[in-house]
Amino acid sequence: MMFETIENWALHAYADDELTDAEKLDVERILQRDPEARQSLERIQRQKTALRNAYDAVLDETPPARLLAATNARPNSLLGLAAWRNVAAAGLVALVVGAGAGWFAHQTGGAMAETLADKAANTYKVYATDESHAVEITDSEQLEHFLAKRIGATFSIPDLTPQGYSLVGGRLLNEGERAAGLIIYEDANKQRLAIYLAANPEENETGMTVKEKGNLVTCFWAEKDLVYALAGQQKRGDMLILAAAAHVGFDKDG
Amino acid sequence: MSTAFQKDLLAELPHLRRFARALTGDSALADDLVQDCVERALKKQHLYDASRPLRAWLYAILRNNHVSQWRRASHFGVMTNIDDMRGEEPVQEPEQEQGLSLALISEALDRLPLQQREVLVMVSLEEMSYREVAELIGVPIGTVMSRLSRARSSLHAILEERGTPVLRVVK
Repeated sequence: MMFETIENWALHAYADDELTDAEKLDVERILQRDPEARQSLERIQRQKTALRNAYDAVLDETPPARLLAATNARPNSLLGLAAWRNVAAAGLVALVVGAGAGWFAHQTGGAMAETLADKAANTYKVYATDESHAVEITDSEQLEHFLAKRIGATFSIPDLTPQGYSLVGGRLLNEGERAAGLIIYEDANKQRLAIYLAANPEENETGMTVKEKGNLVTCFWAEKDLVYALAGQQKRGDMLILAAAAHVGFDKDG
Repeated sequence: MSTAFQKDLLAELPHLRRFARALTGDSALADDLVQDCVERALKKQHLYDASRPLRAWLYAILRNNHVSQWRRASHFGVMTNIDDMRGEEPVQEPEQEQGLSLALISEALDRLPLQQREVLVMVSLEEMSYREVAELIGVPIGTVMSRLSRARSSLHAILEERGTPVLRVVK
């Protein structure tokens, strides 16, 4: 860019390092032959230095205690515990849906998981499709108490109403010679969801795994002293959201 | 336990305090602004785009809050404590080049219109680029440049009027 005479803005831009190398050369050429421009530039530069000299001491001050405290405030005290729970729950759903094959393929637990998926699929086929005699106990609290006692583990019956599913009820099943449980839900269109759970005596944990067979989708995982498997004819994505919600819901302390 | 975000925030406190001090000209008001900025930043940290500089994001929060406070204050009329106006005589340190006292500079800045003062502070003190300033305050770059040029001329005139030889070209 060529300057016939130096413009005020060009001096500011030069002092503030806003020009390209070519533009800088142009300004410098004009500065050489224009003493007034040199004076103007020097005024701008001296003013910048004066400002920095006056305020730089603030950078070396220790910030007052109230600012340090505000910066270190616990997030919970700002957002509220309830809000954080929601964020965490939403985050889990996003993780499950978004993580893709990598996360699900992780630690499938081999044969145990395969058996579990089949078991969940079979109980779905036998019990969940039975319209009137699918369950023995319909009351959530009673079911929780009964299954916990027979399986020998503590857990909550997940509330899936936010996902559009209400509890139909549950029943006792067998896992070899041990007790296992089945919990059945259904949505407004009578679309059913079965959750199979049994003791996990070795307490070997696995990540969540998804399996599709025909129009039946199963999601299963093992955590602490229980193994869980969801089975239903929902879409894969819907199933993942239900599995994530159930995972949170089973946690007695959550 | 502080999060990584809180650690980054802590590191920005000195710059936030300098920026706020130059904007307001008052150390208590400045720290109020910084505290408010920190609290808002923690509440809104999910809105922070980590690919962009944290400082620019914080400056935008602080500056926007300053502008809205300033609008409220000017609606009611600015109140100045008369005791604060005396007793802070500018101290000249002739042997120190460009060593204008903070009180003198601060008083001069205070006489500039806010629109000019904030642009001057962002460019001359905080060394933000014209583009960054334009994005932060939401005006074209040309407007930033004309405000800057006017601010520098006015500040120079105010300090000249106070007889401060430091800003003259003396060789």
